Amino acid sequence: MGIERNRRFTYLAMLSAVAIALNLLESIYIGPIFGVLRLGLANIAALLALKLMGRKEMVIVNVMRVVIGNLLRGTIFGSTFWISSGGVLLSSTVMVLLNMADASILFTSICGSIAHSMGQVLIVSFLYKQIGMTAILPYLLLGSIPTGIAIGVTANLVLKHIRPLTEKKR
Amino acid sequence: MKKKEWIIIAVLAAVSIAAILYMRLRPKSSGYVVAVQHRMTIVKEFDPMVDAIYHIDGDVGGLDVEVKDGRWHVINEHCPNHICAQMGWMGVEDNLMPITCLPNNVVIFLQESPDGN
Repeated sequence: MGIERNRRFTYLAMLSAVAIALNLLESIYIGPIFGVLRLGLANIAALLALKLMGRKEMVIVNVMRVVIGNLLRGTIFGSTFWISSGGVLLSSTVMVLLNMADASILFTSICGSIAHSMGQVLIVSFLYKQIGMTAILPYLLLGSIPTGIAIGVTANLVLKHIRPLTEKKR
Repeated sequence: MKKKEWIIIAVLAAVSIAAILYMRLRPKSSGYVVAVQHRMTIVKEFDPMVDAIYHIDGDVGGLDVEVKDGRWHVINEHCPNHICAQMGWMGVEDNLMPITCLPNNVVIFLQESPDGN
């Protein structure tokens, strides 16, 4: 029981570290596609946490990614932090609901990606009191489908090579 | 992915394409101005048909907006990630997409001219 708990904790720490590293890597080295669309590489770690461990762990990975990622970039509690938080809040909610509905990892990834973009746009619209910002939504929604597929396929490939946490009882 | 899930994704893609087409093809108003907002205040409004370069003060040093041939883009931006400049040229015919520079807290967007000119 203790070993199992330690393994879970180790997985959670590693996935959080991967999410933070991917988040920083993307923001520093990979700019937005067409100036507005991000790949969302850190979502690979969130999907792995969701499928390997569960909903609570996925939320922890996402919160760590936003809080520590923004701390490391020096943007904590600035507009970027709140926009990231809005995206993560909506995408986490959607992914948890889809996981409860037993949706496939690819569909969960696509919908998570769409929800993330929508959450960010809603926060930007609220922060700047500009409803016109929502004009960007159809572009982001359309762009989120291929990025969601790419992230979902990658997460699926990684999942096949990771030992499941809970061993089958003999 | 299940068949039902593919259908939902296809519907979402179709709705997005329809919205983009509507925004691009909708009847244009006779007049537009480009507004620049810093935090909650409109700090500048300009005619997109007049070529010029405007300096905008922001939170981390500001930026310049270059207007040429009815289109505008961000240059000389003093921000860490330069996303605003990477967004490239915007114009009345292209779309209604605003240019945002979050580190500077600056948003540049198109709006219909109050007097229609």
